[in-house]
Amino acid sequence: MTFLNELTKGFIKENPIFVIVLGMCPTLAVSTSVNNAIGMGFAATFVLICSNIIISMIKDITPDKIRIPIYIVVIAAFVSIVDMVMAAYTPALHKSLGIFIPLIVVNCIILGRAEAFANRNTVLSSLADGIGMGLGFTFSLIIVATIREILGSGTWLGFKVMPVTYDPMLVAILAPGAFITLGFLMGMMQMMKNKRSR
Amino acid sequence: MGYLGKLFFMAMTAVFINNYVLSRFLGLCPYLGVSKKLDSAFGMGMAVIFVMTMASAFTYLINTYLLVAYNLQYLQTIAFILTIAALVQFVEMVIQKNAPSLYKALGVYLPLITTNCAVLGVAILNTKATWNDGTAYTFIDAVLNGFLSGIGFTLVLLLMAGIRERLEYADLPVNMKGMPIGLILAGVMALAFYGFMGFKI
Amino acid sequence: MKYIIQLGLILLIFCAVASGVLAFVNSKTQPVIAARKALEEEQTRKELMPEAKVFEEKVSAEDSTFIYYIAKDDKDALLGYCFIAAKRGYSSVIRTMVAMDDKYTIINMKVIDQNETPGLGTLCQDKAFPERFKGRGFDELKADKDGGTIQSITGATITTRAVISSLKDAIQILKDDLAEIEVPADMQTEVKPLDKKALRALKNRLEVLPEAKTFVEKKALADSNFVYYIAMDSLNKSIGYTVEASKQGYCSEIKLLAALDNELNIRQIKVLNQDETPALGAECQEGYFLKRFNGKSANALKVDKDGGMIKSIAGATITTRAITNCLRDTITKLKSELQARNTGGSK
Repeated sequence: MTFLNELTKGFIKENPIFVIVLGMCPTLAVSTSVNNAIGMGFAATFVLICSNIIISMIKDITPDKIRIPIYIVVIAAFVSIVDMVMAAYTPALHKSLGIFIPLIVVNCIILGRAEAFANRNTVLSSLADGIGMGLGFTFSLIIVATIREILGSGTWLGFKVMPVTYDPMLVAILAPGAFITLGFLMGMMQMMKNKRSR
Repeated sequence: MGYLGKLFFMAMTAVFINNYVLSRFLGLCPYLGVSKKLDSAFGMGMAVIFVMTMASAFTYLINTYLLVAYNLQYLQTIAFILTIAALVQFVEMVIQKNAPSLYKALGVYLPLITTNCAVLGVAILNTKATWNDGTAYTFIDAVLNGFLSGIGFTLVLLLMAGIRERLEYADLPVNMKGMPIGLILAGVMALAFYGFMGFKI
Repeated sequence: MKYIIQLGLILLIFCAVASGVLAFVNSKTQPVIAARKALEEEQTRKELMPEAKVFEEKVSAEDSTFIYYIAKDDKDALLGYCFIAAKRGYSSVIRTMVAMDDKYTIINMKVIDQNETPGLGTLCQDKAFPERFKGRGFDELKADKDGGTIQSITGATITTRAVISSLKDAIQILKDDLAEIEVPADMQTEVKPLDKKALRALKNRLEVLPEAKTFVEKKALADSNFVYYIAMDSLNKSIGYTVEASKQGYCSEIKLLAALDNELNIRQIKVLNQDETPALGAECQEGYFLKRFNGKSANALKVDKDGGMIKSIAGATITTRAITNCLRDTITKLKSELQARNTGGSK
């Protein structure tokens, strides 16, 4: 029951991007295509799951005073592993995500979950939280990327979905399009929330 | 192009053309989070300029004399983030002891900066950045780039805060209040900053 | 105090474990990355030149970072060359793999590495872009915006220009490296054997001072970076000097080689390197312009716009002024150097 709860809350109720508004930089920067969004989402999910597990395992032996530096070391180690593995096995994706792979370290979602959840929960529920939050993050990234890729390139995951006559709206995959897309998506989330509460 | 010309080029790039927030998407959390009031935006901006300059200097030295020298580039991420975290902690302690008024103004923002990806971003990009002729940044270049990037960050943060303060009184659709309109605003600003693109010195 | 040490130790242990794990992962992934990169480059070479059977790796003698491949078919006949050209574009370094035939005409090319603006500069990886380059020789590499015929990518002129200029640079290095440099057999050189770079410099000196039989290298007493050559004929009598001069022009560093007679009047000059505005400043390497300097002494070197006698290139006064002034300064420097040597010798 609780395990399932932890697993699903990341999608809607505590969606890291739309509701808690964390980890904006990668959300906006790599959502130019669905392919990048999936890559980034899984990289962050992997780091999130691993760091959640390790941190909940060592929570009893970490002195409170230096817990933040220790979290950072753990997270940075996993980020570096992801960085190297991606460079070796998915070089194209590694290149298009570029600097945002090392920057997963400072993705507030990961440190935020370590501090707010893994720090005081069991390994199992931390694992569920990691999976849920990670997939919620990936899911939100894919939504933003879907809108931007279809409007901006006329494709989805590389396949042409718009009619040949469609002239791609370039601005959608450039920086301004990222902000505006996310702005409207958040407006929609608020609208849904307001309707439900009324 | 003399060194002064190169500096001018670097300043234009860091502040306008490749602004860290609006075109590189770095440092968005404080950009959206601390831009509700002009005062706090100013404090945050100053703290970021300070830490970015210091972090550029330290990470440049660590990268050149430790990581590259001993072929340990794979430790870059972990070394840089620890440097920045330690630096922020150290700066906080020093100004708390020696400049209480400064600490009062910046203190609350300092811990937030550790997770400001613009700081780590500028440190990583400094190691990869090159001039147009392909030469790598020197120590001075890296420090200046950190400083100027901080200025660029502060500029857009202040612009954003100025607009958002006025936005408080605007008659907005209920659903768009707060974060959504902030993001759309950022989009319009990014569009405006795109005017600097293609502008090459 | 003891508590702080304990905290430090705990943190140290964490860092050590993390570094150890990373070192292990790094040792496993590094060879994979290197192998993959090499394999990718090889595949691209085969894709660009499918009929080639052997790619012979060569390193340029002058620029050791430039590696090129000589492509041969199964009968060991020369098919052409394959190399990577790289230059900074708008927001990244663009690397292009190029295949050329033995007459330096582009057969095919592929942008293998770039990070330009999405939707604009990134179009250089489209299929249409290399088509614009196929069948072109060195002199036909010019963007439409610069008066050439290669269609630029809309909204990405800087990217297009960077690719073109990277190709030109690389082809030049390749040509230089493959060209045989012949020096007259009776030419006496102090150092033998000369490497390619030194040979080319010698060849340039000979071009501006063909009567010379020996060049004696001298370093200025006052400034050891200032190098000049005393040219001797077959009787070991000085017939003049050659000296290099360089100065920033309008948009590039202009490098010149000047031959002077014994009275330090200009015999002939040659432009070694320039990248000035096409059709304007770039005219400075044409013979008609260079002739304007022949026979001039240091005092006569002044551009007409500044009240002198050297006629400027129309629309490129800055280029003309740079050339004239750097020649004047260099000759003046050489004069004081020779005087210093003379007085020094008489003491």
